[in-house]
Amino acid sequence: MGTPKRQANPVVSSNLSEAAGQIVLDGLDAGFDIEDIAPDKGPKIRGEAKFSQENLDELVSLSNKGGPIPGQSLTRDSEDPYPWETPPEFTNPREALDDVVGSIMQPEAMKNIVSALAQGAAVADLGTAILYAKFNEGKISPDTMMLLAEPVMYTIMAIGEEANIQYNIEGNDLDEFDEEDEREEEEKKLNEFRNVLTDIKKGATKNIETSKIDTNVVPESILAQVKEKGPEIQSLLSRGEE
Amino acid sequence: MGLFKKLKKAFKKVTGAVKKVVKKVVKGVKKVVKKISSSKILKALAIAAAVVVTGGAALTAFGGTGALASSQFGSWMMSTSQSVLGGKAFGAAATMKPGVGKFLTQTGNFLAKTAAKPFGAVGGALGSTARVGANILTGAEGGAFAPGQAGAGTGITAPKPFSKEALSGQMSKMSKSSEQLLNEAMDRNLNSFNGSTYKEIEPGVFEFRDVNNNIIETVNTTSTPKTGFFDTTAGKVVSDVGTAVGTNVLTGAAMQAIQGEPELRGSMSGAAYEGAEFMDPLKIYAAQQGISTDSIYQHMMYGNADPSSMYGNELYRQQTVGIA
Repeated sequence: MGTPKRQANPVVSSNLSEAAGQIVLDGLDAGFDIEDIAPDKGPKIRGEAKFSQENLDELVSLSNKGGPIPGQSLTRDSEDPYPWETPPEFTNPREALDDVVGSIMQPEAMKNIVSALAQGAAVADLGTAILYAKFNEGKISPDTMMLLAEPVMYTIMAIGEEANIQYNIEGNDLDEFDEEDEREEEEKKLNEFRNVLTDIKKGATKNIETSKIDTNVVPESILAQVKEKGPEIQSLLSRGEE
Repeated sequence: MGLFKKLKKAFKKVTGAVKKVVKKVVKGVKKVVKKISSSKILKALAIAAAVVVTGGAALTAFGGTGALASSQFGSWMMSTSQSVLGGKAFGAAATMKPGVGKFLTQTGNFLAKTAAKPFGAVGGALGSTARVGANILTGAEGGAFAPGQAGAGTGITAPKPFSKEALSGQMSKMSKSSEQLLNEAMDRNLNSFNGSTYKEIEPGVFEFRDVNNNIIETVNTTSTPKTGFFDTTAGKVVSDVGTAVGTNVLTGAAMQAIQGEPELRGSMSGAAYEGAEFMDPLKIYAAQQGISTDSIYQHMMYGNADPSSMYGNELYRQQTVGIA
């Protein structure tokens, strides 16, 4: 286990991903091992989204029910507005974030999130649902909802990691990171192979002395023909005449 | 297109952008640290981000067996916020397990109070959320600029505002009980300390021994604090000036409140006493970040040294000095 050699450097960023990245790099630089930061807890549960005809039918029937008639919202009594039509409860995004994360960190909510992640729900979808519900309740404004997308998604990701689930971030991208790793690895190996091949080629041609080349291998008559025809000679792979 | 459809569309764009940023950061980290898989980096990022978002509350929320709680990394990364903000206002370490519990004695926020521990609880009561930072500006429940009550029932008091403890972010050593000091020593030496081998060798002096009976630490619960800057004459002057400024501000404000609204507009009110604002770390921070102090809490900044997130809502909700 790595022991930190120094204190953590202060990190402030307007972007949570960037702040987290800097903190992780700082931790590694300070002497932590990646295993200290993200300990391995054995094979992960694959949160693979499975196609279900039943669910699709339900979704289709829901969307077939139709939306509101244009102008319907204007017919509502102004004395009895919807929660989202009233000023939001939290105007400060930080307060709103505390409220949202506070409600996520409740046992019942956590259980549902873990189960959803394990069944293939994407982090982005869960985050959207949670924030959308908060907006519907009149707790936050649409702007705050957008601002909280990143931190809420990260909180859900942390829950997924804690529950040892291999989750989807957006859509069905379960293996995206692993696939990218594999692609990179393949590319790296291919590059190595190319480099070695180039080295071999260079090594093989380096010691050839042109003065010692036996020119009598090709008969003089053929050489003369080549010189004569010159540009007319076409490659075997050339397109040829049409 | 209706409002809700527009919202959904916009939100989809945002989540897509978040994923792109996550991938970018994973790649960035991977470039620096070779031979670590992307999924491992993603895990580390998620853990670090959760701690930042929750101000450390995620550490307890995830319980004692999880990746967060079992690692030293969580408390290490937030240690900077303690030194930056002087956030050692929590008490109740005595009832807590090391690591997470200890961490929460040093920092925390609103979430520490509200977040449950769904993955298996560790630790006991979290204590009050009063913080040194808030105490500097408000004083605690006992009255403005009075020494604050930090851990209810713990026998630990938050430092007196502008005192050396408040400015250096330390708990008042004198106010710590011997039990508290012993528990802290246990936390420090948990890995090597065998619980059965600590004993009192003199009144108030305890020796911790490891399994091989080697002394690993001697704790003197009767010792006086080490002399630091605030114990020196210069330090006392600084501390006294701070206290005097605070007292003057509030005396002026109180007098103004008693006398009623002065007819003359634009006069400098008692609470607008110069000096205090120049000591305000938030203003320095805001200046460094290029943001207005008035809207400091509206800026969603992240990190282990962002005062607005570390002070959290407690500071936002506090009664400010500008009461006139």
